[in-house]
Amino acid sequence: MIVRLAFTALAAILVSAPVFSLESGSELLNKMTHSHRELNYRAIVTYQLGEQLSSYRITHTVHDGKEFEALESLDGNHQDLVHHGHDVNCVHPGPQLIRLFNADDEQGFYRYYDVDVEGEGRVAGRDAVILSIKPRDVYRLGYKLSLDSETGLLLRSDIVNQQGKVLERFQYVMLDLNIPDNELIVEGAIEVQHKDVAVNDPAAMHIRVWRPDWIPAGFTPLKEAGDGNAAMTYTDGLAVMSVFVEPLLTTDSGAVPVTEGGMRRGASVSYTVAFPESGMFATVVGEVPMLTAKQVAKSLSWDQR
Amino acid sequence: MNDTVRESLSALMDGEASELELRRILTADEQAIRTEWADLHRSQQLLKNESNPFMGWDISSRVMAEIADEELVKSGGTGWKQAISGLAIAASVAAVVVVGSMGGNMFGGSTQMVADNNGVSGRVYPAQASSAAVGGVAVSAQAQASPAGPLLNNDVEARKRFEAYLRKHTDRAAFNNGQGMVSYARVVSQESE
Repeated sequence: MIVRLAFTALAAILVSAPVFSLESGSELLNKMTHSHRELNYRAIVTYQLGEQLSSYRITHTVHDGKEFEALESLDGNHQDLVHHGHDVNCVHPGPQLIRLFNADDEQGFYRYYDVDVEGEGRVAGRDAVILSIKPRDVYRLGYKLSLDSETGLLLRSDIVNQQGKVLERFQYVMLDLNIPDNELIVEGAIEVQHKDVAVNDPAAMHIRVWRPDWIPAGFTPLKEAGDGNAAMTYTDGLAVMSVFVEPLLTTDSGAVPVTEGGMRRGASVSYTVAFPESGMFATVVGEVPMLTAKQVAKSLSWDQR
Repeated sequence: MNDTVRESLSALMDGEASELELRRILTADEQAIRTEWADLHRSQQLLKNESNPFMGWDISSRVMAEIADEELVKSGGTGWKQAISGLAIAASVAAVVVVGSMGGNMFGGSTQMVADNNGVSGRVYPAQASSAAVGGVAVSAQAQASPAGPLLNNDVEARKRFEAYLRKHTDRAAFNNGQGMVSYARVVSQESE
């Protein structure tokens, strides 16, 4: 009898023990936000969008505290991008929203998403932990992320809409973590630059004469280098959306050549709204539901001068 | 809302509304209609001494948000048709919500019900033409009735602009979305199409 009781108790403990006792979802997510910038690796990644599949080679190295990164397209036309000289300690606001809090705080990122460990998996020959990230309101998309158990690298990401339909998928098919930290020479590559620095400071706001009167709760504005008067970008830690403003071109007949409407491609949408009384039009672009892009675009207002 | 509309609404609830009455309801102020519709049902339930746990629920904003997204997936039709059907659907969503909650089974069947209502409201699209043109959507922190506008995927100019904006957006997004340089695949895959 006693033996049986003990056995039952032991079984109960075994069953109820969490599979991932070492790292919670938020710890892994935290790791994801910085590991991809700190490690040396080369990977083949596929990007799937509906029936279209394309593949890329990603190379990332860190030398003397500076990042080097290359994205080479492996099919179709050569479209190669490089990014270098990025200080590995350069802090961006998106990851901060995830890093500064943990799931129990119900703050920052965790106020707007439910993060659950869904199970274990294997991606690109590596053991991965699958996280399910569900939005708590209708203004964001959902994510299913497979993170490398060892490094936290994002090995697979499915972005799903509010109805649970997958909009796009990134998936590593090969990952090599043992590469030298040399910079790669990619001929004919386009140099890209990241256009954001830190959380917005109020001083930079003064020159801008327009602003959205509504953005979903939890989206933080980024401060950016250059064209500060034409664009604003917001992030909640995973979703990012940008608002671009341009003057309307008037034709001889005085007609406005900008049509209001949306564009969609994978997880990215845009929504354009004309503001003839201000002589401008605005476009919201981002990985958010169309509803969000539309409401933000429609909420734009201009200072009276 | 005037008494004529209120009477039409009452007729609709009893399943006796004529097409003219339906048109009248669809052109009336949407928010007022929704409130009235919910109130009518609530009082009817009280009269019949019925009660159900979903009575206080209003999932209309969520349903409308989903429709706004759905509409865009099925591209193709011309802009005004989409806008109008969107509006008509949105108007019928309030009805779906209350009807759904009365049936008590709104989780399994809500999508289907929306689709069914879409079919019903199809008859009255033309009546909406005028109000759709001025039907600016109010923007607030809550999800409003927000039929998605025309999808411009086939407009060459709009597409070019989208590509350019997406690239600029990715310059800003790549280090804030947890994905890094991989985000540029969104831009590159588009340009090589």
